[in-house]
Parts: sequence; structure tokens; C-alpha cells
Amino acid sequence: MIPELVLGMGAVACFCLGAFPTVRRASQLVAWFAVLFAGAVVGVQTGWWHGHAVSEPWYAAFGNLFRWMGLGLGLVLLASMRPGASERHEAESLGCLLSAILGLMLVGGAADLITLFLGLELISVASYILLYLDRDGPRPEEAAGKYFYLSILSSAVFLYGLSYLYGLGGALRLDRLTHAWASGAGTLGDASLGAMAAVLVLAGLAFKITAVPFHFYAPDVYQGTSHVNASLLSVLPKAAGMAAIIKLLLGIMVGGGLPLWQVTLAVAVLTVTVGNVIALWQTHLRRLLAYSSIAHAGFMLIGLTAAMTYRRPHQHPWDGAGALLFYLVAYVIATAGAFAALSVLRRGNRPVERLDDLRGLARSNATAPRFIAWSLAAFMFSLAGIPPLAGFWGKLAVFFSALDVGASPSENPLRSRLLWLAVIGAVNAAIGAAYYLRVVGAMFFTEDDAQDRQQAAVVATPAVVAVFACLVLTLAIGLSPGSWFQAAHSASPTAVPTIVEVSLDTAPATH
Amino acid sequence: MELPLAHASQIPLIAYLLVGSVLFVTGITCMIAKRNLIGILIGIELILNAGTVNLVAMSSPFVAGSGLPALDGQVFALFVILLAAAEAAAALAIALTYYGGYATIDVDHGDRLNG
Amino acid sequence: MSTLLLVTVFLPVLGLPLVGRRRESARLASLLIVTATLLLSGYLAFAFPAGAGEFAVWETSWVGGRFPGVDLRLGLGLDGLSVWIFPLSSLLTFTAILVSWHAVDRGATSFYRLLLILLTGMLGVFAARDVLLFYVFFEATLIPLFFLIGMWGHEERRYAAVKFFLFTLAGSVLTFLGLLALAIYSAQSQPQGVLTFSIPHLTENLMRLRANGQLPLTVQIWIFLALFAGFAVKVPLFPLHTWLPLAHVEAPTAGSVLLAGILLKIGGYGFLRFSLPMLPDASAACAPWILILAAVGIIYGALTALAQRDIKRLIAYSSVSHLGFCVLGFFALNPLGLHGGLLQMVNHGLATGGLFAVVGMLYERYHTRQIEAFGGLARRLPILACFMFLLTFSSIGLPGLNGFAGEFLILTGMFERAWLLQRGELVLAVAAVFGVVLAAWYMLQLVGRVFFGELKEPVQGGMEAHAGLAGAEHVTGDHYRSQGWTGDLTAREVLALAPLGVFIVWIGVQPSFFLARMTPTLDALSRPATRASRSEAGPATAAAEAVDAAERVANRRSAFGRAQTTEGDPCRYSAGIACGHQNPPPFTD
Repeated sequence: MIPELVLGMGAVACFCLGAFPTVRRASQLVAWFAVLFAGAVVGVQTGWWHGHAVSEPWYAAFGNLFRWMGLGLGLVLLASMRPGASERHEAESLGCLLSAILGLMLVGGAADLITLFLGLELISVASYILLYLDRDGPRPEEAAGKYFYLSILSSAVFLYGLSYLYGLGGALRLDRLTHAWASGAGTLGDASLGAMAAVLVLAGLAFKITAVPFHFYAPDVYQGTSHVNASLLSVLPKAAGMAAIIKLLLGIMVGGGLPLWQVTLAVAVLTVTVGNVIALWQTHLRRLLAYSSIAHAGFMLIGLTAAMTYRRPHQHPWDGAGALLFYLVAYVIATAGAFAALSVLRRGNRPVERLDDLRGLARSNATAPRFIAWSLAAFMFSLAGIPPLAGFWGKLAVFFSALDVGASPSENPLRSRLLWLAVIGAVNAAIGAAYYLRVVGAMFFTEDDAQDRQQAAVVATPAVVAVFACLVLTLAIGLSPGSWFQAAHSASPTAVPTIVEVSLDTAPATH
Repeated sequence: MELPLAHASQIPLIAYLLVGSVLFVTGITCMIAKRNLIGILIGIELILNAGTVNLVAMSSPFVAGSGLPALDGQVFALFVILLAAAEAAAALAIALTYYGGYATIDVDHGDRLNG
Repeated sequence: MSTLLLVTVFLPVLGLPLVGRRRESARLASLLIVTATLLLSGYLAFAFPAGAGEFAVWETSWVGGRFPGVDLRLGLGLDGLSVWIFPLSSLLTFTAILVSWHAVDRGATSFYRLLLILLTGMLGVFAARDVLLFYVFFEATLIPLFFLIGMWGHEERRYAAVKFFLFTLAGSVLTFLGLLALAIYSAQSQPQGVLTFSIPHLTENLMRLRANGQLPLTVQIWIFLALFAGFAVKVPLFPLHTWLPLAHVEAPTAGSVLLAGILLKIGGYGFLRFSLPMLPDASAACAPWILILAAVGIIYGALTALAQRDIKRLIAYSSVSHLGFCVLGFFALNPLGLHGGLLQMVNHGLATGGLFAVVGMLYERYHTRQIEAFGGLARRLPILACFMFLLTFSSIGLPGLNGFAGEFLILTGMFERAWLLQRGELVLAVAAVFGVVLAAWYMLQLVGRVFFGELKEPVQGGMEAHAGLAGAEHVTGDHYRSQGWTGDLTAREVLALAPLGVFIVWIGVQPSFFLARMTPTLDALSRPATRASRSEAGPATAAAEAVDAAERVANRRSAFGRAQTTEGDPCRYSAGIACGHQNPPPFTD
């Protein structure tokens, strides 16, 4: 718990410093120190991440994965926050950022429902305040309002679902809930109540991960706020939501014998298709990336669906949940990198917001814009799933997990569904490439022909370093994905024998 | 040992759950029907309270058929109440800025982001 | 040898830092790197022993060491399929760099760096011994070419680049699923369920499954179709070819050369590497349909080429037609057709790559590619015209040049198949012959109009060009070159084309030298499919049995090590073409 405590204290310190105008500037230092110190503690505790190879339980690896993810994102987001833009609220913004990261780490490490719920809410509340404090975006009050009301609605629905989950399982601790659901015990041994709990929980979390039909807020909110906030919204709630989905749906509810895969399959198909297809028409960069993040949620749900339909202890290491986690890592790096790259670009004193604003970026005479252009292109290709970048291996793992059920010769009655799911996912990967290529095309293939507008320039901030770090990670994972696959695999709950046995007994009958 | 309130156990758990579900449905209806931010906030509070009622009832030793005398659900409920207070504060702040931007708290006016 | 292969494949990427900022140093450095790669890959190809199966195999674990359970390797190796296409990639990149010498002025550093990355991608595709490595290289070739077309192309370059990328990607994601499905099935045959992606292991495992009857035809056909989606787009087969003319026309010369010369070959290579050996029954079952598509493509490409006014577009459509021949050869599913198809891929790379280079040189001089703008250039540019004639004759299959050997083998193979197995397919064989005639027509018409007749040189558009024409004699330097320079080929340009010419003639007069190195691999890979196609045709006819028997005899002979090249039919015919073959034709046996 030490890293979490460090972050929490850092957040409190930032909020306190905000109250004193004279020492407000110190909040930057405090925030950096908190994140780096927490990172050092996690590093020492986990042996700098070689621990995943040894036989630690999956939830430990899972927690560590999300700790690293949270801290890494923390560094990127801290670097992207422009000092001076919201100077009046800088300390508060930093405090909120630290709390949001803390929320992600709590969700990743949660062992009971309270921690999980509070972790999710910590992210939500912090992001309301960040959206509210942000005066940089074009429509901050509308973005904050929309996000707030929809987010809190989803939290309330989620809580209502959790109350049934608790009642049916008779415990708040996740491991007890797993066994309770698997053995059919609980206060109310009623299948319909179980289904209701599952649907409510899924609906609440679908909002966090921007799954259809709870996705519609994302483009508006992203458009209405700044690059940094959009970055935060497109990675932190999604990562936390995915963590919660794995823990609750895959870790607990699948054991209850509910045909949850039907719901996730439908949601996955809708999400991936809607996200990719609507993104084709977007010209606003944040809207485009919003639809892209919706589509990627769909790809991750393909992995989830595959994980839910396994009937045997899988021999293949690209299981659905591991694929989801790997995909999440690749997505988070590329998306955070892309937003960081956008956040350092300015035209005159205006941020770069539309596709047209990127025109001719790669043909600029200065080195910095060209570097940003190539980095942004790498992130786009990674998101599109082109090898040898990280996103490719994510798509590989996800499609493999679906095909492993869908194309294997075993007698799984769901195979044809999963086969089509994989095909739909693959077709969508090709559709998705189209809009990523538009971004690349705007930067590389067009001249900056507008004389009235100012040349795109790069503001030198720590964000450039963050872009570089994300670029290096994207390439490194792409060239040598082995240990990252292993990390994702060891964090996958389907690696636990008990759960596999459970889903073996109670998998849905015939469809 | 008999507690003084033991007679309360005559009310079965399902009744509490029904209350919870009524609150939930009312809250959802309220959110959909109301066009103003404060009204929507009330709806959300109702939904949160629906969850709270469930949590408390399910873990209460005084409710017939609950069978979960662990009280941890009630701890959860306390956290939720705390959270609801925090969110209400944020909601009011946002409503204020919204009013500052649009001179109304009617949500129908917040459609300037193309969506 | 195996380390040498590794070095060869990654040399271009390792050389990236050497490509400097200034244009002159960038192009010189990249030329040196590519020359070194060319020499190494040429050495590897000519060191390839005739009759060998695999050569210079280099393998190491890629993912497996850190991720147990997945046997994913960085595995490189040459065999009969790749032995000639592999050095051809370096050769055409060499040509591509030389033809871009003056043509590329903006962003030269990026241009040459992308060419080098592309070269590593192409070498890797053909050397990969692992399915995923193949796919990684396959897709990795897309990115540099996407930028090459989009940044240095002509007017419609943006649209062309995106269309090229999306078409290829849309097909290849399905191919990707197919490849994964192959790996999943292959893992079933192993007790430990180790997920292997190594191509030889996959082939072996799938053949074991097939022998046990665990690989039913329906499954094979589904996977075959998935693979087909990507490869057919890449080839491109008839209904999926629409990206090709656009990409070719809009690409810069170097891009067109490499796209036509090498990248289109990946499709055909994929058929030979994956579809035929791993899914023989499906290949046999789908062959009739694919043959129809190929024949339609041959005729359609030829007729469309006949109607073109733009030289580049004409050559692009001729590619559609020629690659139809390759596919026709492959799916004739007999040794003749397979050898012919594979040889024809190399031939097409040499001829069409060269043709695009020549068109690029014309464009550099006159800034137009319209056929009617030219006339009688043979007098003005005699050396260029000579190369053009050589390439054209190669392209239309004049006996004595490489195109003849390839097309002849393909057509013989197709006739053999049609005669022995399916008489109805004689129509397709005749259509293909007709395609040869059409090819001669449109190519000779092109040459006739551009190089013979009255001297007609295009008037250059734009104010600057007029100024350039008025005082052409006084303008010097790069401006002179880019605007009004209409001299004959320089030494650099001759150097770009001459190696292609050498190989065109060499393959033409001694195809057996090249075929002999393909034979062992081709036979091993295609035998199941060949057998399957014969049994597909119903009760085996006496003739088919006779062929089978002859093949067995040939096998036995080669097993005794009498001659490395006597694996059955192709050499019998190629010996007829080739005078320089040392072994007596097996006819005498």
C-alpha cells in the first residue's frame, strides 16, 4: 500500500499548497516527487518487474501491472500539463491528477468491492474537477456538465448492481465472491437477480470504457476540453473500467453460469463497428481520437468475450484476458503519446485541434515539428495495428484469443460466433486504418498552404520528452513483445485454475 | 440474545429490495424527465440511495432472510453516503459555472458541441 | 552463411544512420548500402547449391524465451521459392535509387531512408521462416511505400497512397486471421500444444493432421479463402486490382519499380509458401475458380492496357495481365506451371521494373507520360530505346529472352492440366495464349508510337518550361536537368538498367540454371496439392497416372543423386528451350 499512500499524501499536499498563493508553485515539485517516489517504491517492491516470471498469484501481477500503468500515465500527464495555462488552479489540477492515478492503482489492486468502487469514483470525481478547472478548452462548462451527469449516473447504476452482487455472493471480498458465485451460494440464489446484477454492473462500467450504447458522451466531452484532459479521460477511466470488468465479470460473474458472453459479444461488435465507422467522418482531432478510443474498447471487449467462452484450461498463452490487458497497455501508450504530441503543438497561440491544423507538419523546416509528426504517425500506425509496433501485437493477441475458440477443432458450441467476431474485428481493423491514415496524410502529404494561419510550432515542454518515451515504448514493445505478453498473461485471471474449472462446469450449454 | 428491535425482522428482505428498486426506477425516471440540473441531481441521489438501501438491508442482522450479519455492507453504505456528498458538491459547482456560461441551468441549451 | 543472411536482411536498416542530411551524401550513402546488400544477396543466391532444400537458415527465439508456450522465432532462410526473388529485391532497389538520383530533390534523406527500410522489409518477407515474421515484414513494407507514394508521388498521390494501403490492409487482415487459424490447427496435432509459427513445422503438422483426416475440406477452404483475400489483393487478381493502376501511376519512379518488381510478388509468393503446401485439398478444390479469375485478369488487363494513353498506366495494366499468368501457372498445380509461374514472377520483376524505370527516365526529361506526346524517340534517345526494346521483348515473351521461358512453361503446364484433368479448362489455356498475343500488340504499339515514326517531342507546360525551351542551351545545373534536359541516357542510368538486361538475357538463354534451384523446394511444397488436384478430377485417368509414375521414376533417380535437376517435367521442357544445359534432356531416358 505504500505507493498508494505516497500518492494520496502527494494529492493532499497539492490541495493544501493550493490554498497558499505564495507556495503554490511548489505543487509541481510535490507532484513529480510523489509519482517518482511511488514508482521507486513499486520498483523496489516488485524487483523492478522481473517478479512476473515467478509464480505469484494473478491478482498480484494484475495489481502491479496497473500500478506501473498508472505511474507511467502519471508521468506522461504531468509532463503534458502546461504550466501557466491554468496557473490559478495548477495545484488543484495536479492534486486531481494524482488522485486519478491513485484511483487507477486502487482499482487494479482492489481486493474488495469497496476499494474497487472508491477507486473508480476517485477517478471520476478527479476528472469532474479537472474538466471544471480547465479553462483551456472551447466549451469547458458544457463538457464538464455532460461528463459529470452521465458519469455519476453510471456510477449510481454500477453501485446498484454492486449491491446485488454483494447480496448474492454474501461478501465484499472478491475472492469470497468468486467462490460464492461459483458454488451458487448466496443470500438470494436467484438466477434472474444474478443476471440483473451483471447487466447493471456491465452498464455502469460500459460508460467508463465508452462501450456502445454508453459511448455518446465521449466525442462531445473530448472536444469540449483540452488535449491533456481528453488524454486523461481516454486512458484512465478506460483502464480502470477494464480492470473492474476483468475482476467482476470475468473473475466472479462468469462463474455464476450466466451467458454473459452474449451481452459482451453484442456490445463488442457494436462498439468496434460504431467507433470505427463514425470516426471516418471526423475532422476534429479530439473527436476522431474519441471515436478511436471507442473502437479500441470494442477490440478489448473481443478479448473479454473470448475469455468468457473458454471451456477448457487453455493451453495457448494468448488467452482472452491476457490479450485484453496487453491490448490495453499498447492502446494506453499510443493514445497518451498521441495526445501528448498534440498538446505540444500550437499554431500561433491556438492549440492544434482540427485535422487541417496538422497540414504540412512533416514538411516543416524545423526539426521539432518533424519529430512530432513522425511520432504521431507512429502512434497512429500503432493504433491501426501495423507491425512492427505495439498495437499490432495487441490485435494479434485479441484476434488469436477469439480465433482460438472460433477456429479450433474442439466441440465448443460457440465457435462459429467467435469466428465471426474475429472476422468482424479484423475487418474493423482495416476500416480503422482509414482514419488514422487521414491524420498521417494530413501531416505528410499536404503542404501548409494557408498563409493567413501561422505555422505549426512546437512548444518546448516536458511533454516532448513524454512523447519520446511513448515512442520508444511503442517501438520496444513492437520489436520485443515477449516479456510484455508474459506480464499480461501472468496478470490474467484465467490463469487461475479454480476459475477455469468453474467456467468449465458452468459454461453456457448450447447455442 | 434478543435485541429490542427484533420485531423489525418481521419485514422480509424482499420488501427492502422492492423499496430499493422503486427508488432506482424513480431516480431514472427523474433523470430522464427533468430538464434542469438540480432535478437531475436529485434523480441521481435517488439511484445512489437505492443502492444504499440494498446494501444496508442485505447486511443487516435485523432483516429476515438477509443472512449476512457481517455489517460490511453497511460500511460500504457509509462510504457511498460520503461519496454522494462529495459528488453533490461537485454537481453544484458545475451547475454554477453552467449558469455562468448559459444563464440557465436547463440542459437543453448545452448543445453547442456538435454531437 | 546463415549469419551472412541475417546481415544481408538487416544491413539496409543498420545503414540508416549513414544517410545524411544533404541530398548528395544521402543518395551516395544509400547507394553504397544497397550495393553492399546487393552483393551479399547476390553472393547468397549464387552460393545456393542446386538441389538443396533450404539454405543459410538462421533462427533464434523471438518471443518464446520470455513467453513460454509460444514458439515464435526470428527465423530466416532461403529456399527454392525465395532464392531468386531475394536478390531481385536488392537489384531493383539499386535501380530505384539510381533512377531517383535527380528526380527526388525534396526531403531526400527521408526518401532514401524509406527506400532502405523498404528493402529490409522486402528481403525479410522472402527470407522469413516464421509466419508472424513474414506477416510483420509484409505489413512493414506497406508503411515505407505508403510514404513514398504519398510524399513523392504525382497529383493524385494522397488518394493513391491511402487506397493502396487500405486495399492491401483490408486483404491482409483476413490473411492474418487465416495464418493464425493455421497455427491454431497445427497446435492441435502436438501433444503439448506448443503454439508454433515456424513455417516448416506448420507445414509438417498440418500434413500430419491432414493424413489423420483432422483437417476437413470445409475448414481448409475457409482458411484458404482468408489467405486468398490478402494474397489476391496483393497479386492482384482480377476483381481486386483497382488499386494497382492508381498506385503505379501516382507513385514516384522508384516506388513503381519496387511495387511492380517486388511487392506484387509477395501475393504469389504467399500462395506458394502457404496456400499450396499447407492447404493442398482446398487449393485443388478452388483451383478452377482461381484459374478463371486469372484468365479473366489476363485478358482484361491486356485489353485495358490496349486502351491506355498514359504509358505508366499501360504498363500497370500489363502487370495485371502478367501476374494473371503467374497465378495461372501456380494453380495449374503441376510442376510445369509452378516452375513457370515462379520464374515468371522473377521475369516480370525484371521486365516491368525496368519498364517503369525507363518511363521514369522519359518523364524526367519531358514531364509527361502521354503516349501521343511522343514519337520517333529512337533517333533522339537511342540507348534508352535499346533498353526499352529489350524490356519490351522480354515482357512480350520473345524467344531467347526470359519472358518466353516463363510463359512457355506456364502455358504448357496449363495445357497439361486442361488436357489431363479437365478438358473444359482448355478455354482458359487458349485465353491465356490470346493474352500473349494481346501483350505483343499493346507493347509493340506502345514502342512503335513512342520510338518510331516522326520525331515528336512534347512541349513542356508552364512558364518556366517555356523559358527553359527558349534558352535551353544556356541553362546549366540542376535547373537544366529538371527542366529542359533531353539528352540520352547517362552512365548512371545505364548502370541502373544494365543489370536488368543482363539477367533478362541470361534467364532467357539458360533458364535451367535458375529453374534447377527452384525445383526441390517447389516439388516438396506442391506435391500434396498436385496429388490432390489429380484425385479431385475424379477417377484418375490413365494419363494422370502415367504422369505420376513418371514423376516417381524421376524422384527415384534424383534420390540416387544422379543429377540435381532431373526432378521431372520442367527441365525436360526447359532443356528444350535452353541450349546451355549441361545434362542431357531426360527425354532420352
